[in-house]
Amino acid sequence: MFSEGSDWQAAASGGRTCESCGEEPATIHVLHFDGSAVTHTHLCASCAEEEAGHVDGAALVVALPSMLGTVASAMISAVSSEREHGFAPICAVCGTTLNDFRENGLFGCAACYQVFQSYLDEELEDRTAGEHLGKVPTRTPGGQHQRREVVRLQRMLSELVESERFEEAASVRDRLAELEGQVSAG
Amino acid sequence: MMADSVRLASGLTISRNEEVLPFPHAASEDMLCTFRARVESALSRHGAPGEWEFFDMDAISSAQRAYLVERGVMTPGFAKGVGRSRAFGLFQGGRAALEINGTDHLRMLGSGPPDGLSDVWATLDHIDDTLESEIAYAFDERWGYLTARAADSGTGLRAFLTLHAPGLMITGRLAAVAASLAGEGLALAPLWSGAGGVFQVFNRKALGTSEGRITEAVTAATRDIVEQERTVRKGLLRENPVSVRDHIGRALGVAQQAWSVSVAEALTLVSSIQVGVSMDLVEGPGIDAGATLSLMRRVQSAHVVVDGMGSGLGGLEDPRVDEVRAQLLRRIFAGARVAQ
Repeated sequence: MFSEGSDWQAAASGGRTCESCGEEPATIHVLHFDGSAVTHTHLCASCAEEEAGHVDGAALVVALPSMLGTVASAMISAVSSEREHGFAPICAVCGTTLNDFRENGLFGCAACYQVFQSYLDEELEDRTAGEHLGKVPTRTPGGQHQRREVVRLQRMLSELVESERFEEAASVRDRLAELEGQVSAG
Repeated sequence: MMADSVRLASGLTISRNEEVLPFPHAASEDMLCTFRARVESALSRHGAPGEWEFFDMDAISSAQRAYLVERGVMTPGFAKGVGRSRAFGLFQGGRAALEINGTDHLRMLGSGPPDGLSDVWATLDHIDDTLESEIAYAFDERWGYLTARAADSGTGLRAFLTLHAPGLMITGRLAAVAASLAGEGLALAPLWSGAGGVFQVFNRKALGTSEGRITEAVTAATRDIVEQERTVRKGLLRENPVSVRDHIGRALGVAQQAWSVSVAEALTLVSSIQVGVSMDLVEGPGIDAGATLSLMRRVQSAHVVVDGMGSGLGGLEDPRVDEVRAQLLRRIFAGARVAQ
């Protein structure tokens, strides 16, 4: 069995601050069961710990993280960065905007990781802890060259859009659409 | 003995995406259908005949979906989604499963006994290798396997251990447990909205760590919670022997005599009775402290409907589901009694 809580949408409580201290970001969602009534509180870790000490035996307290710290803080830093630079980035490959990401917590394609990289980067305090350390793909299926070309064009498209070279971007986009069609058909 | 009555099950999910296609929520249905066909044909070609069975999600009824969720071979989020490109694959009759075009293009998943994480991993790892030989995965050296939710990127792995911890729940200690898990990059979430005191411990982070370390961290944290639950149960019985026996005896009385029982109430009853069994307070033929999970599954609505086909139930919304569930409880606990 897999609990629904494990697939929480980061945006559902993104950017929420602790309801107790009002300062720290809320990372724990506390449900109080009292007979048939259920109340919800969003708390930071230290307030949640304090709260746990005050609960009498009759009430039931369940806690689960209300969001992923990484994504939530990334969104917060993205907002501040947006204010500083005065524009919101958009992924030229799939059209995902920073706002979309903030609303539903979802990236639209692999290229989004390049486009929004600086926002995720800013979040990671310990940069070495943020490197992938697990399994890596070992096999290279047929058509690898074509796939790499698609990834290269996707990056080029992002850069062209960012520097507002729209005519060149349009032709790269047409070439991409053609290649993507071939690749998805295998 | 007691340890096994607290740890109920283990489970893993692995998320992957094709390198070029936009992720499902941003891709066209036609592209996703083409991709789905590629996946199905790749797995059918590589596996033994009949090893994989694929189903169109639109053709699976809501009762069947709920049944698969209750069996631990489908995630609740995938069961709720819509779209003609979505498909579900069952490997070796349920040893593992594959969700196609959910939040990510691919999500492999499997469940096992409490100490079965490494077996489940071995099965999923093998399926992953097979898929990878045909599908170019979206992968980045820095971010690992790329997923629609940035939080899943890295290994793309979530490891779950399911615990029966009603003692920690009724004594209000779960918030402290969750807070301490959060400090280790882990999380606690209630299964079945907390009914029956069943919870899952799982990893919040999939980046900056390896698959082995994730499963080890979840296993180690769980060991500690099991110990706490065991201590709480003993303490409750030592300090309140009459009220503990009374609570368990009443649960058994309702299970043996009630005529209509909701799923939440049934889970609570089974939970109390099984705690009694694990502490030798309940005895009788067919009573088994290790049966908690299977009993909790059998009282879930989709299991009541699917297992009780002969009862003529119309579906999950049939009002007689609660009656059939009560019959089931009466049958299961017919011979049980509170130990003197």
